[in-house]
Amino acid sequence: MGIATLMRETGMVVMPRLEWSSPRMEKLDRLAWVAGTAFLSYGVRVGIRANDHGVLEQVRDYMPLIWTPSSSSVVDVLHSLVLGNPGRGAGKGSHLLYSGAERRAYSQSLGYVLKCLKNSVEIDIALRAPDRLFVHAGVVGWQGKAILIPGRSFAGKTELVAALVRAGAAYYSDENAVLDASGCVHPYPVRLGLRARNGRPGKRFAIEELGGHSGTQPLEVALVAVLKYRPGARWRPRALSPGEATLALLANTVCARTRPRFALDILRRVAERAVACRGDRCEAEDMVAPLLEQLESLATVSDRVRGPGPSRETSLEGTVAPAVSRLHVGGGEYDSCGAQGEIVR
Amino acid sequence: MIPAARKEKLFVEEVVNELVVYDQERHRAHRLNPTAAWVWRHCDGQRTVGDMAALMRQETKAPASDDLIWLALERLDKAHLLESFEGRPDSVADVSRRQLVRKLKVAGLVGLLLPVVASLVSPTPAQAKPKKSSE
Repeated sequence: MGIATLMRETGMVVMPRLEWSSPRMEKLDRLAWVAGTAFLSYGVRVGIRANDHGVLEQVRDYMPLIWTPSSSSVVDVLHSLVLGNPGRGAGKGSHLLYSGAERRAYSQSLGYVLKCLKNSVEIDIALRAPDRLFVHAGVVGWQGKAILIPGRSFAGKTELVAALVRAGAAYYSDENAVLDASGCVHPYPVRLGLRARNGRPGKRFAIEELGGHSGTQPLEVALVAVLKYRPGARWRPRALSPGEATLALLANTVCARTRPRFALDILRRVAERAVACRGDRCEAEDMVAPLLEQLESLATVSDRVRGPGPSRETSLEGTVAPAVSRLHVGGGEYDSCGAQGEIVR
Repeated sequence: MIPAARKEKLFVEEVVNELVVYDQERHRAHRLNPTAAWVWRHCDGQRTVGDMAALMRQETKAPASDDLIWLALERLDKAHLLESFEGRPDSVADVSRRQLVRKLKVAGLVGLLLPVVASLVSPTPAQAKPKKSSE
């Protein structure tokens, strides 16, 4: 159900407002707002208001799928959509988007402004979610464990996630890995936006349209794969140490600057439990089998490597003579240095 | 030359046997491998380079030399993780990283003992979550 539909059907009309104000915000507040809604997503109260009744219905496709309506008009973040009037001369036809009092978009294309709204809402939720950490990554579940593929846009995450889902993996997200305090990953379902060959955004698909299914339960991350697409690449991944994995995840963490302590604490938990590797990848379809086939065995290897002892080793003792073993990942082979204990295969 | 580790505006996270240090001033994250982490922890403003090398040999049974400690200190200083570091005095021969690597290679310890400080500029929210499309 769309936000506007929900408002109509429940008779709930909420004109959201922020708790705080400023001269710029007051100026914005004075505009003629006719439609508004407030919802709760990952513990963040989000408000959207517009000067047009119809536009909130269009917002639906761009919103996170996990939200609940909020009856309170006071919100943590407020997005204001000012739709232009094309008939009113130069400059009047442009649409504007504000987050708080800050202008985030200005364009004659409503589609573009709505995409900016989507990004803006996602960033605001990611920055403020009280007990969740958002890492820009694709995530799928396989046999009760998660594969996390961190990477920025144009890294090919969505294509890889779609290929894994077509092969039977549970879809968690192609945009954000939502991690809780224990390092488990939660679903963050959005419609998959597969790109056209020229890199331009293509049609958005519901996961069911690809014949896939979504995961619902939080999963422990077993494999962190830092991949870079290179046409014709041979899959020869290199093992990452837990420290390297932590840094690779931090590089894609939305609140890395604003909440580094919170982020590092969770990322450490992920990196200590998961096996991590980095490598060039070839086409998404060719990566499915190597990643899925080895996920379970990698997790087993990881358990054996780390052993039952304390996970935090503070002296050099454990690393002066570590086992240097070879892990096999989908036909590739790589050294695992710095891990304690022997890997027996 | 008595090096001291910087403490202020840093978050330190132990990740197995490495350290990840977040610099709030510069918004940089650094990964210290076990050797670099050991040296950084022992930069207490009281121990000399010679003291640290001797202590590392004693604690870890690793063939640590003054050159190894100097190299670690230079890397830590480059990452702004030291409070006070004046560089090697003229009286100390400047052993390059390459020479040190050669020595450690002979001992078969190059991958284990060579200090590594890898740094990352922390992303802004927009960098970590860029726009999916541009107009």
